[in-house]
Amino acid sequence: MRRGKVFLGSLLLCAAKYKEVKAMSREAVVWVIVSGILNGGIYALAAMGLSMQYGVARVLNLSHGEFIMFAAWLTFTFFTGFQINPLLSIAIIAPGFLLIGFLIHRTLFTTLRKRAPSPAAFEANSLLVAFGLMFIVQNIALLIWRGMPRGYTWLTRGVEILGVSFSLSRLIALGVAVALAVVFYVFVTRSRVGKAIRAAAQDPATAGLMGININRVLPLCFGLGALLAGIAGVLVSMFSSLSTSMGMGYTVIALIVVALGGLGSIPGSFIGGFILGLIGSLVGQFQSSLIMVAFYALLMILLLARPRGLLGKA
Amino acid sequence: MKKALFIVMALVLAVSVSLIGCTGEGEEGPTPSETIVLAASVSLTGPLADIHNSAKGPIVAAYVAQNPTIKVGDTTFNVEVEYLDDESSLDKMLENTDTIIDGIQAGTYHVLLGPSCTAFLEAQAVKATSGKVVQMTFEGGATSLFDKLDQYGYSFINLSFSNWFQIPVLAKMLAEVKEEGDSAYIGYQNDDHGLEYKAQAEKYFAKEGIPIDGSRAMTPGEGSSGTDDLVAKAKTAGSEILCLFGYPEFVFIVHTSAIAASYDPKAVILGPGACFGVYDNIMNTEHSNGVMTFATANNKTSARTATLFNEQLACPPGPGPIYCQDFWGHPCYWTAMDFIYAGLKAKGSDNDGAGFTIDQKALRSYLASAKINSVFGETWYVTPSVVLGATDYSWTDAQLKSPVPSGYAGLVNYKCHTGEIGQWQDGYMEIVGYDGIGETGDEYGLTNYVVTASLVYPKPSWLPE
Amino acid sequence: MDISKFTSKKFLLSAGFALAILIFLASFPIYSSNSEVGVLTTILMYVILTVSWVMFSGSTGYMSLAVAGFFGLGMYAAAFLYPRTGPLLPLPVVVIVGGLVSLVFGLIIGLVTLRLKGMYFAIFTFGFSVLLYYLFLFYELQIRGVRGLRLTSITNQTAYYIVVVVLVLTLLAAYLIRRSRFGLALQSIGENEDAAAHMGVNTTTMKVISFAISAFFIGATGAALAPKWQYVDFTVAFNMLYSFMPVLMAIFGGMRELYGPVIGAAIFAYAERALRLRFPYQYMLSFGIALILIIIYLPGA
Repeated sequence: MRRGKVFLGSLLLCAAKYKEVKAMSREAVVWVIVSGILNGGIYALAAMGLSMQYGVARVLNLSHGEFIMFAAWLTFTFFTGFQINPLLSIAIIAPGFLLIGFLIHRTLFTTLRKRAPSPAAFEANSLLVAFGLMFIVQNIALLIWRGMPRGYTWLTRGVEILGVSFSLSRLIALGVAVALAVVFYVFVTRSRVGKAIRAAAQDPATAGLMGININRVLPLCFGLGALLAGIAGVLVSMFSSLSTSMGMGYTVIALIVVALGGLGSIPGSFIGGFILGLIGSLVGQFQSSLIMVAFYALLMILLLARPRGLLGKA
Repeated sequence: MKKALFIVMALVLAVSVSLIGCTGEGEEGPTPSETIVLAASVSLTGPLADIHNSAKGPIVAAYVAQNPTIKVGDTTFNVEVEYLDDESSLDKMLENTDTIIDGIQAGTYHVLLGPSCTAFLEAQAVKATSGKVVQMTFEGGATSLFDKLDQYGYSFINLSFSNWFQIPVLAKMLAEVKEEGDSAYIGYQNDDHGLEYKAQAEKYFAKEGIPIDGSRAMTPGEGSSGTDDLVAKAKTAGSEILCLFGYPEFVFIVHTSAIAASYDPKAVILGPGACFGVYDNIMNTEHSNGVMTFATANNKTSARTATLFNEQLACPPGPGPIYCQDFWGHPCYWTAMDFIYAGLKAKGSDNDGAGFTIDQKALRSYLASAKINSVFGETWYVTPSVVLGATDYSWTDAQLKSPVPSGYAGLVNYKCHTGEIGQWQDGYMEIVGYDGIGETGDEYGLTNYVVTASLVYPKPSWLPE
Repeated sequence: MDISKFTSKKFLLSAGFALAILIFLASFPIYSSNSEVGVLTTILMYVILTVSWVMFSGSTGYMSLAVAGFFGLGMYAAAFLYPRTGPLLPLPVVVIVGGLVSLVFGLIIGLVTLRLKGMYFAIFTFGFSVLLYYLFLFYELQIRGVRGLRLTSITNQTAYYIVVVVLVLTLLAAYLIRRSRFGLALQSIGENEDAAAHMGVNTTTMKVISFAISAFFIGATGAALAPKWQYVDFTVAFNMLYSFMPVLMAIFGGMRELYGPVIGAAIFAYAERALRLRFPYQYMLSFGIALILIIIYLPGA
């Protein structure tokens, strides 16, 4: 995470040299910062989920973004078909996704783990299984929602912050994301289950010896990751347009944030999400085509800059 | 090792036999067929699937359902449609095209329908031209075709697009109604479609004296960040005319961004997405009221279009997929089907009861010169004779060559269209442009256009009370 | 090597077999329709991509997802050198240049990613391919202002023969590498890289060179196919499917023998086409299910 701050700092420094940046109006600066934070909240949520899944359950879940996409479309259906308020949808989707994630790990990944000759083999195999999951979730979504219009209109009121207007729904989404992150952090650090999770993250074998039921904790973590993805999806649907192919983008963003913030670190993913959001809105202000270029370049640089890979806990 | 060898050998033999078995080479020309088959490579899956499902898909299905047979000579033939999925992927589309062209030459298929987007259209057109097979396009149509019309000698383009003839009409209408000081801001999809519309808008707005304050590329995936930023920029610049030449991703959410920012422009022009009947269903009417988009006809344009929209393409009630009622494209595609059926009837042969065949060269020359009665009225194909230079803005009748010369692609004459610009008024899509009459007179000669309501400018406010 | 190796029954059998396949490939366009030639060209393309991927990733155990990137670079090289306005170089030269461009990038990526292991190398190469997609998107839309480059088109038959030549060369290279000391060194890296380094194997050089060689053939394939498709843009060139498919085909066909990837790719590509045309909506879903089942129940397939 320190490196992430260094990266953002140096980016800002270089940017400040350009006259276009210096010439940015006050409104534009406000817009960049607030918009970056608004996007960052969602990124943080997505990243925390992936961090849970890879940091503890050791599954690099390439289908993470597809769960976000699926939850977004479910919210769409609940709202347009049954008039269920999106925030209420969280109450349905969160436990549902927790259960689904738990079951998926219990059936697929636990089997893989037992049969794998080595941790490295398990990681490679689980990567491919997650890849298969990606196909499955995406195609189920296609079968259900093919041809549906891309969104719904829920809250249109705006809120003015320092002279620039932002939509209320994005602010609400941020609020939910932050609240959830705090709750989650407290849960992982203070509760008994949380302690078990952290022990399992450190060393599954030893944790097992100490009486922690690994076969329950690992799927639970995977399920928690899916739960976070589900809530992120609900929030995203509130202000974004939907498509069945939007999942991959979120998976990659979560990956970058996790690389930025340090694997298995909740605060790291949280802050990393906002850093990435700010980078995105700053670049997007000038050249929206380069946002993804910046993100992927960042990913590659982070991978190279951490000699021990992503295993450092912040 | 030996076992593996034998397995592989058996496999190779099996593969080659099955591949050979599929060849039906006939040196004498196509063999007669029991049914008439229209074939296309379309994107049934993949990112372009939405396009197929809302454009060619429903139109061809509805048309064939209502016209299931064609009588040629003394025989009545059933019409079938065969789609080969290309997964929105160029190489698979080309593979399918090869299969279809081979099939047309063999007589198992009879007409090639175009693919699901303009880029595919051009790649397929090259193959159609060298294979001497007629290509009837549905989705797709762009200014970029103009400098290659002589390379696509077997292609017929049916859809209207930016300078054929939407943007010139839009510019003229805005110039007539706008008030002193009104200027425009352009958001455009960051791809060839958006770039084309932006360039044409810059050209024709300049001609009509509409200042442009700025433009912003909308990159797919940006979502509301993009529309928020566009609205913020337009509002800061004080633009009263907001253009968003983008796709549903942005078209369906820009009003949210605008209302949140208290941005209430006098005119809003939106790209594909707003021209669908479902746009008004999922927006509340107060959000869609006054929004302008591109449209060629509606229920009131003529008796034929009334039948088209009220019966043949009626939307099922309630929320549902966006297949139905595209006021821009569907009349164009219906016209394409009219041409196909007319051509099959005129130039097909029943070979004295042996089966149906059609000669592609004869079909092409028929289409090049035919004038048929479509939903637009009398309609025919032309080739614009010259790509207009920087100061030219429209074509004279003499420059719209009919019949389409041999070796050139044909486009539906834009002067046959019944409209270019639509506006949502109280939940109803009205055709507001262009009747050619205004203070500036009938510069473009668009006498076939039918205006069903006057343009409302400024549009009603979409801000909540 | 003693002569008896060349005259053994096993060698003669496999050589004769290879000759039979060569004759089949060479004569195929004569008795087949245009579309069948196109289909076989695509199948052979996947074979080349899979064999090239196995050349590096199969032996060293580093999963590379850069195939799409190298393929796209080759396509763009051809797009610039063989435009519709008139080819700037003869087609075989264009193919070689496409290969060389990818080779250079392969060298750079190889050198840069020296310390990355396993998963992180995979993610890095994935990022590389997608970064190229967005870079070219920016270049085409914001700098050139027009999307897509159009190429002079070639017939299916011409494309087919070029691809066959590239295939033969790739197989030859793969075969020679496998039998050589270079190949053995790569295998040892795959088994235990630290041990190999201790035994004096220059792991860095080996990895970089084999990565670059595999990139060459991938790029050459891209350059060979671009004129057949006559249109290149960032979506056509940098399609992540070209990164994932070779991996799956190699797993399906097995990586231990040379013919493994060949068979895997051929069967897979042929099945994919057959299923796509018959069950367009369902086959992707069943594909995902099949993949999961294969990984769980047949780890060493």
